Amino acid sequence: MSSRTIWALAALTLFGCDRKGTDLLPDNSEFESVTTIGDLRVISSQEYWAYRNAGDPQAWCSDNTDENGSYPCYYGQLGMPDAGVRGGASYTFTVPTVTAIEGVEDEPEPIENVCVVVDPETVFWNHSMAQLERETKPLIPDFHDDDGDLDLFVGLSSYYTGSPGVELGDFRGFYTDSLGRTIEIEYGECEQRGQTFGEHHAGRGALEFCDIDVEGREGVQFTVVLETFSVPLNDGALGFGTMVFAGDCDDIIASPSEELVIPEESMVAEAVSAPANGLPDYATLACTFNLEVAVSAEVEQEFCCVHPEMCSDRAPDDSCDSFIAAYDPDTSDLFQASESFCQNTVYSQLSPDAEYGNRADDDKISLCCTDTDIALVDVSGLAPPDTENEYYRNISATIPPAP
Amino acid sequence: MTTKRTILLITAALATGCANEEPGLEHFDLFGTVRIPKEAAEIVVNVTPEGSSEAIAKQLDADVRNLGPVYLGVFPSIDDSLFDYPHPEIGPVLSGNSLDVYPYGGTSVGRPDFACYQALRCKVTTGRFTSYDDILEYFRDELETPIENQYGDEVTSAIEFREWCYEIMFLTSDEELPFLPSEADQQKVDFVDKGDFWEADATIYHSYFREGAVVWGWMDSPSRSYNFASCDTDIWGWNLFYYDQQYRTGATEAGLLNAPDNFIDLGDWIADDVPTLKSPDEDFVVTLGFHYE
Repeated sequence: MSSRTIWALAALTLFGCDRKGTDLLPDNSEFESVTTIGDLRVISSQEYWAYRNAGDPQAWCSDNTDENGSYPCYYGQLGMPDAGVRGGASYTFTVPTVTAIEGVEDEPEPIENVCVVVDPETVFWNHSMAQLERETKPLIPDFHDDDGDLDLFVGLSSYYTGSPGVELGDFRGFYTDSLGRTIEIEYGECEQRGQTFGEHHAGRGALEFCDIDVEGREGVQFTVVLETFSVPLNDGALGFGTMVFAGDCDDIIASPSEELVIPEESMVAEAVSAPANGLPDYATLACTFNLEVAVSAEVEQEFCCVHPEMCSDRAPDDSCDSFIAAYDPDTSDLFQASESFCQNTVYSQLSPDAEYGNRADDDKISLCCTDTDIALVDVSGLAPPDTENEYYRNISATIPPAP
Repeated sequence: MTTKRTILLITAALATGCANEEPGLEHFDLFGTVRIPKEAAEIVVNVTPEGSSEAIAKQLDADVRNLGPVYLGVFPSIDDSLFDYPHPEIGPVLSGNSLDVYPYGGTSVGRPDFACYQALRCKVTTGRFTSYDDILEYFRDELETPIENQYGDEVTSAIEFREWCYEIMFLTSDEELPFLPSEADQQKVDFVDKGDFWEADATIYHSYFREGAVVWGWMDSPSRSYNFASCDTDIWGWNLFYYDQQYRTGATEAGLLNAPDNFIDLGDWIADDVPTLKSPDEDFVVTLGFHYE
C-alpha cells in the first residue's frame, strides 16, 4: 500500500472521529434544549385528582393558575442539546404555608413532605428474553424509538449552581475542614425510592419521583432539575409532564410502573407557541392514553396484539397465541380475539376518594385506540372473559350488549 | 549504532521510574496501639436466676471477652463542645440524623460476627474468644444464657457447635470463621493485659493523611441485655436460608465512623487522649479513657 493511500486513510479516520451522528436524528431545532419553566405551585390532593381525571390534562394545567400566575403542573417538549452541553429544564417551587380555613376550628396540619414527579414520554416494559417461562413478561418488545429519558434532581435553590434557561446546574457544594481538606458534598435532596446508596435514576420512559422533607421549611424555595438523558429517535422532541404534589409519593404512586400519575405526556412534536394567558395547548399523540392504561394495568401483551403499530415489530411469530387462547379457545383468529379484548376490556379511572385497588366504576375507558380503523366484529358468540384471569388484575371487563 | 543508543536511552529513562517513591500520594497505612482501661471490661448484665421470672443485675469481673468492638478513625480534629463526650468536628448539618464528620480513614479492632446460631446474632465480637468452648462457657456461666440450637436445646459441645457452623455455611475449616482466632494469630485474642489497660495493635489501612489529624474512636460496650448498638439484625448481614432456619444474620451498621453519635450510648468508652499525627510513619497510641455514663 502506498504511503499516499495510508495518509488518505488516516485523514478519513480522523474525519470520522468528529462525527456526532446527529444526522441520524430528525431535525429538532424548533425545540429548546435548555429551558426554564419558572415557578410551579404545590398541587393539593383535591386538585391532583381533578387533574388526573381531566379529559385534557394539558389544558387543565394551563387553565388552573393561582393568583400569582403559577401553574400546578406543566407539560413541555425538549430538543436534543449540542454535544457536550447538559440539556433539560428547571423550575422552582416554594413550600406553602398551610392556613386554617375560615370557620374551621381545627388547627391545620403543616405539609411534611412534597412529592416531585416527572414523567418522560412514553412507556417502557421488559419483555421476555428467555424461551422458558415466557409467560412471565410480554413477548412483544417495547418500541424504543418513542421513548425519552429525563433524570430528576431536587435541592434548595440556594445551593443550585445553574442559570435558569441558560445553563443547567447541580446541587454540589464543597466543605473545607479545619485542616484545609476540601470535600465535595451533594446538597441535592432527591433520593429516588428503593435506592439507598449513591445516585440512581429510572430508565427510559419511566416515572421519576422522590419525597422531599419540607417540615418546618415553609416559604423556602426549592429548585427542580430535569436533565435530558435521551431524546426519542422518532421525532427528536422529548415530551414530559411534571408537578409537585403536597403529600407523600405513596399517596399517588402505587408502583414505579404507574404511567397514569402524569397522563398523556407523549405529545405531537410541533413547536406550539404559548397563548398570552396560558401554556401551549399540546395535542396528545394518538392512542397514548390507551397505551399508558395498558402498561399501568400490566396488559402490554394484549394491547400490542390489538395495536401492533404501537409496539415493536421485533415480536416472535407466536406472541399472540396465548392471548388468543385466553379469550376464545375455539378460534385461532387473532383478529377476532383482538376485537373481543378491545371491546370487552375497560379501565376504571381512580376517583379522588379511591384507595389503590378500590376503583370507582363510573368512568371507564376502553383500551381501544379511538383512531383505529379496524372494523368491529360481532363478539356475542365468544366466551366471556374470565374476571379471575390475571390479565384483569387491574382492569374490569364487561360484555357489551349484542348489537 | 543509533538503534543501540536509543535503546540505552529508553532503558535509562525507564529505570529512573523505579526510583520514584511517589511523593504525591496522600494515603498511607497507619499503625498504632489502642488502650482501654481495665475497668472497661467490668460490665453489668441482667440475668434471670433459675426459677425466677425477674431479671437481676450481675457484675462481671474484668474479662477480655466483655470488651465490645472498637471503632477507630482518623479525623481533622476533636470538638469537645458538641456532645457530652469528645467527638470529632462535624461538617455541614444537612439533616438532624446525620452529623457527618467526614473521616479520613478508619478501622475496627474486633467486629460483631455471626457465630452460627440465631441466638448469637450481634452477640459475638471477633478477637475476643479463643475457641468454641470459650464461647459456650462464657454464655453459659457468665451471661447465664446458654446458647440454644435450632431445636431450642442447649448447645453443650464444641463438636456440635462446629458441625452446625460447617453445615449451614458450607465450611471445611475453623480458619473460615472470623470469630475464632486464626493460626496466624497464634490462637490469641486481640487485647492483651497490660496492667491498668488492655492493649491491642491497630492498623488503619489506606487512610488519607494530613499533618495535625487525630486518631479517635470508641468501644461499643454491651448493654445490660448484652446488645451492641453498632450491630443490627434487621437490615444488615446476609440472609440465612437453611430449612426452617431463615433469618438475617446481622452485621455492623453503616456510617459508624461518619455519624458516630448515632451509635454511641451510655456505658461506652470513648477516646479522650487522642494522638495528633505528625507523620504517617509515626506509630499512634490512642486511649479510650472517657467513660460515657
